[in-house]
Amino acid sequence: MSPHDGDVPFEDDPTGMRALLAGLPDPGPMPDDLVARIQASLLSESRSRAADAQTPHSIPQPPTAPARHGASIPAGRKRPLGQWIFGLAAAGLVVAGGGYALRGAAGGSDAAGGAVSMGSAEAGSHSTSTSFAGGDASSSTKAASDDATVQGTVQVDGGGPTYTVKDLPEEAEGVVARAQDSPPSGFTPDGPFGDAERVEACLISLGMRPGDRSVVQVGTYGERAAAIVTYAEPGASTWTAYLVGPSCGLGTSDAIAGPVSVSAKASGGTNTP
Amino acid sequence: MTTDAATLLERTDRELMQLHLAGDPDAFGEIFRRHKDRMWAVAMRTCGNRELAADAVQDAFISAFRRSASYRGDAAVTTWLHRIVVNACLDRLRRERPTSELPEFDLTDGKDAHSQLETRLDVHAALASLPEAQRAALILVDMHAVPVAEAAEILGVAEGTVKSRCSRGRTALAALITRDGSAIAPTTDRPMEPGRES
Repeated sequence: MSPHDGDVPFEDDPTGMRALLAGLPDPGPMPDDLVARIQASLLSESRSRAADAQTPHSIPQPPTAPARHGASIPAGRKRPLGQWIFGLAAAGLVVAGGGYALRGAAGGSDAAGGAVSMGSAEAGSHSTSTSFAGGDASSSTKAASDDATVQGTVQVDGGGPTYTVKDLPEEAEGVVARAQDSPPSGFTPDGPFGDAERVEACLISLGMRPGDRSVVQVGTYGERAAAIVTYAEPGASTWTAYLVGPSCGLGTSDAIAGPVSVSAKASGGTNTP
Repeated sequence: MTTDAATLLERTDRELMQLHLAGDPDAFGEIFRRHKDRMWAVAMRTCGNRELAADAVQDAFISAFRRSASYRGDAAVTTWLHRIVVNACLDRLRRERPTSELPEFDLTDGKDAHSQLETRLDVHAALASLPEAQRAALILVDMHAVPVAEAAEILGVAEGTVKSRCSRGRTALAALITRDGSAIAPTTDRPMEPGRES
């Protein structure tokens, strides 16, 4: 017992401070942007844990640093988009042997100027990708053969189009298809889709789950930056796609249209109920 | 292993922790969803600064994710989370203290009368100047109505120590607030909430 709580019940507070403190207003709910930030961090942790769990006997190799031409990386605490792409690719390749692509145009660079190889991002280079991901080669190869729609490709191109709501299914199908067909290239967009954590938060806000593959293409919608964001479960041939505005990932999805479901190989998308 | 979202909603915090430890990728996300607002409130009141609180609460949840194996299950998950959040806040404050003044407070509630706002600022400034042990005890027990026994678990001290810190803190706070003549009249005393369990 301290002298402060000897004879007086703890609940009795002659100073009035207890009541005063209890009456102060609550700070309110956690801000949406912080929620998205923490969810993105937890997703990243979850991916790392999943990758570790699947590779008990392999020694993870660090990824080759991606070359970047003709585009700036946001400064400060933001992670370069190239790293984010590798992070996603690593997790995805372990699970499904899939890949990721981002076609960007927000910075105004043209496709030719932005074409740069992104480290191990070479179509069909599953073994290379798997080694840095620390993935199981046999499962990765099997998954890759099961899902031939997207190979182990990490690419970023310039020259994104102007989107319309009506054409979202067709555009989204093209985004996924080009992830397989286009040659490897590198481009990191300026603008709202140049921040990796923000793009990741955008994907999460749209329902992407740990282990999913994603493909993002940056373009414009009307006068503003926009992106077609697609993701799919490992091994699935159906992708979910949205058209989103520049605030996606800032505590909101900023969805302009979607979701639509697109098949990576089929010739048309269907609206998701 | 994965558990569908509807099932996760029905799980207790302890069950979610077990699922998380077993490798469920979504279980910890549900824990975060359930407790984020309360942890944010604790962080805001402990740090007294929105940016510090945001960093601290992010540190805390990532730390909790990574250190989930350290949760032994003998206390409520919320108690364990509180402890991690409070420690993350104190770590942040200790790092900031050499170069910062008293925590600034975010003035976002435009509905408050001027005098109430001044009072709040006085209280927050006074609270920030208390020793961190007293401040943490007051924030948990008096501001968040955490039972003394749970606060003792969170802070890793005996219940008597929590009571002592609260009593000393209240006395010091009253002295700080009334020192310049702006006495605070006690309002209605709010009873302690009964013990909570996640």
